Amino acid sequence: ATLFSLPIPRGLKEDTTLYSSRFVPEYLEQKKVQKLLLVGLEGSGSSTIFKQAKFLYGTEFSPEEILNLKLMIQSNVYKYLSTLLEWRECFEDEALEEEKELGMSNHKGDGEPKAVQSTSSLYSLNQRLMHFANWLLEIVALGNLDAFFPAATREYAPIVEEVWKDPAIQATYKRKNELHFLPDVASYFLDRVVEISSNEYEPTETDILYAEGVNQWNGLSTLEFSLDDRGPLSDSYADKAGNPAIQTKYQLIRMNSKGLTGGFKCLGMLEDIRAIIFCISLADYDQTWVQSSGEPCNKMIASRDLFEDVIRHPSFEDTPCVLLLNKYDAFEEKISRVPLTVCEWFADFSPVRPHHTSQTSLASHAYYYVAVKFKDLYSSVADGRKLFVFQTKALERRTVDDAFRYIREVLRWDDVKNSDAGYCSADESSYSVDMTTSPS
Amino acid sequence: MASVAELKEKHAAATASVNSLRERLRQRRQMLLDTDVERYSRTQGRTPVSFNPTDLVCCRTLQGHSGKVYSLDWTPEKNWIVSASQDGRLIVWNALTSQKTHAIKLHCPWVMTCAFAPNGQSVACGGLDSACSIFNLNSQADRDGNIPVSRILTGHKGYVSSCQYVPDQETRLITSSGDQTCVLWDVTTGQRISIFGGEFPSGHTADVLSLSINSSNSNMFVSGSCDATVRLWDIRIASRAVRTYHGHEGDINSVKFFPDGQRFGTGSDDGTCRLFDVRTGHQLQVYSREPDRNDNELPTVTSIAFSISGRLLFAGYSNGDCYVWDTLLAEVVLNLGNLQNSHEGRISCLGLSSDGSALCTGSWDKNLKIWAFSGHRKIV
Repeated sequence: ATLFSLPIPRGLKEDTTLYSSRFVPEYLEQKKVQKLLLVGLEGSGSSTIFKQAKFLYGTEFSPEEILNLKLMIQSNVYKYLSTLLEWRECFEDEALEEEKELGMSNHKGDGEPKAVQSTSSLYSLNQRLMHFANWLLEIVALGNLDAFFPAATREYAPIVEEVWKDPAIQATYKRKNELHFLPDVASYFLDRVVEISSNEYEPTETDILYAEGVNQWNGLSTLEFSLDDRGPLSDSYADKAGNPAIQTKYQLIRMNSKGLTGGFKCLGMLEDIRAIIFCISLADYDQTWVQSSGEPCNKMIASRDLFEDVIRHPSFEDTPCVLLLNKYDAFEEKISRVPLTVCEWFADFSPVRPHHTSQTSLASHAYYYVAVKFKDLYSSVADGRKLFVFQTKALERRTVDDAFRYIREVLRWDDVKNSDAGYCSADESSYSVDMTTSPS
Repeated sequence: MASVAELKEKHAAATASVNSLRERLRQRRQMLLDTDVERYSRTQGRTPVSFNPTDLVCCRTLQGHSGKVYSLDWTPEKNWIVSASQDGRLIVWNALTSQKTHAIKLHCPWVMTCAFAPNGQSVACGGLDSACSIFNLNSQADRDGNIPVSRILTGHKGYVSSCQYVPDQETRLITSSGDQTCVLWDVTTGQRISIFGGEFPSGHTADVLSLSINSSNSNMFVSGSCDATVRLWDIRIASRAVRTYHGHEGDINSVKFFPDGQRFGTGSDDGTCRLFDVRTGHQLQVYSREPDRNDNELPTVTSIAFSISGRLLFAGYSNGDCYVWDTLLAEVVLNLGNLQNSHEGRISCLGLSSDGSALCTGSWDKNLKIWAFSGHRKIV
């Protein structure tokens, strides 16, 4: 599918006056690093975007960072397995309950009592694996997973593999669309659990991208980088390309959303943020999320609420915001079988149904609708300021590179707007036209 | 399997039930309180401490940070101060001469807390990197003049909001975190000895922002949280809080034991400081500011400290005030924010030297100031 993104701000291309006036602020800011805050709910893909940026613009991962990622991957395997084991338990109870009801109805029909009630189902584990499963779930329940893993990873790898391959777990996994809290990448790592658990294991680039998070401890991660010019836009800035000294430097600051619970107190420490990059997974509209209060809710709505909390923070009163609508590929696949309206915030989505509606066009309509919902929300919270939206598939490096170049253009346009107030209305008109075009 | 709607319904019912029980507890607590410290003190004929203009003066301004100051700590034995700032540095100062003895560049500039080891030879700091870093001040600096980190304590899953060494123990440190837990560490090995809260039902239910270890009984410490409660913990029993203290209506940014170890004070986003009795759990006194004439929002309390006798309560506020409260009579007897040479920004941290002769305040104006007592005072 073609990238569905906002047009490049028009003024930058066509008006040479803007170009010359923009030069001065950029020159004066030559030594200043522009800080970009990257944030999103768990599973939104913000850590993948950070790691892609590191591959694109940064240096190699250091040995310490690689070790950190390895330990994180090893720990995550046990989290995935414990999630599967919990769901297996639910499904087994469910299946046994159904069987019990079936047995009772048979009893009435036959007039003969059944001598033996079945105590196993498709979801039952053998006794030895059950012992391990109960032990693991107890550790998780006590919050002690960190005390055992990744330290004991190698020791338990064979039994983990055995559990993962057991028909009961495979049957549970087949229902993965019903499984909350099991990330897409679980099978990618579980399939290779013995390899991953060995001391000699070195994460590949793909492993690093697929791993959830940047480090084990949800700490804030930073990356300093600059962007080389390329593509059609570079023509306008031919002079700049020859002057690396005046290339803008950026610092990407990625904050895990777990650090944002409570009163968002730590956000107050992030001053001088040049732009917020908020990452949302488009595929979350049918997922359930447990909030910190313990109450379950739709995950897209949880993302929306976090988004609203971030943009309302006093530190970001005048900070431009770019929304990355991520996992478009998963969204495209899902939209044909799960209607967007399962999320109550999107209840009024009703796409026009022309003849021969293709999956692609349905996804495009839905994407556009979601983008406008967020733009309207942002506009109402931020006194009419514009939200910039970009579509990404974080596992495809090109889309991440495109996103950062888009962000750079947004910031340049913001600089121009701030330095030449007279041009604001002209530039904004191209967006106000866009805003009035509403799907369905 | 219960549907999401059913789960929501059950959760709402459970929440309503808990809130109802909480309100009944609050009312019961209120009934049991027959007086407070102020009223009792006045019946005993106490009068407020009075300050002459020159009794407490700013005698040093420590300049050198290029970002907001977030935290400070004194050494127990000597006149050294360590401060942590948004410029990504720890600075160790000689409080007598204002000289900088160390400037430590941090890997993660977003640092929220710092602390001296009891022997004054190490400092610890933590912040948004979710880790607590230890620096040995006797380490050899590298070619760039940077002191290498000697240990990084990892394990928290949220920012490290506060850290404090266990008194008289070089190797034990307690941290509080945005992950709703506190952790006791062995600094030598980097291992977590105990985790307070988290999955256990009596732990905090929101970010933990502050902690204070009882110097009279170093097995006990209190933690203050965004859940508006303080919890008392015994280091030897991590599985449940000894007691929970209620009364505040906002995040508890600062918690400090009273010098006798039987009470502690708190400072909060609700604009008040409070005094609690450790054993009974009762709130003994509220220290409230008069509402602003402009009906502006009340400034929040960022940090507190007691004088050696406990008669004075120092409180730093978000608007740059630094009130000196008479603890017994709940009166403001001085405002360091109004004096000559006062800070120009939020008071973010403050601390009293171990001998009680000086107070240090840190501010978002990038400076620290040392206020010293002079002369003799009679206290009635």
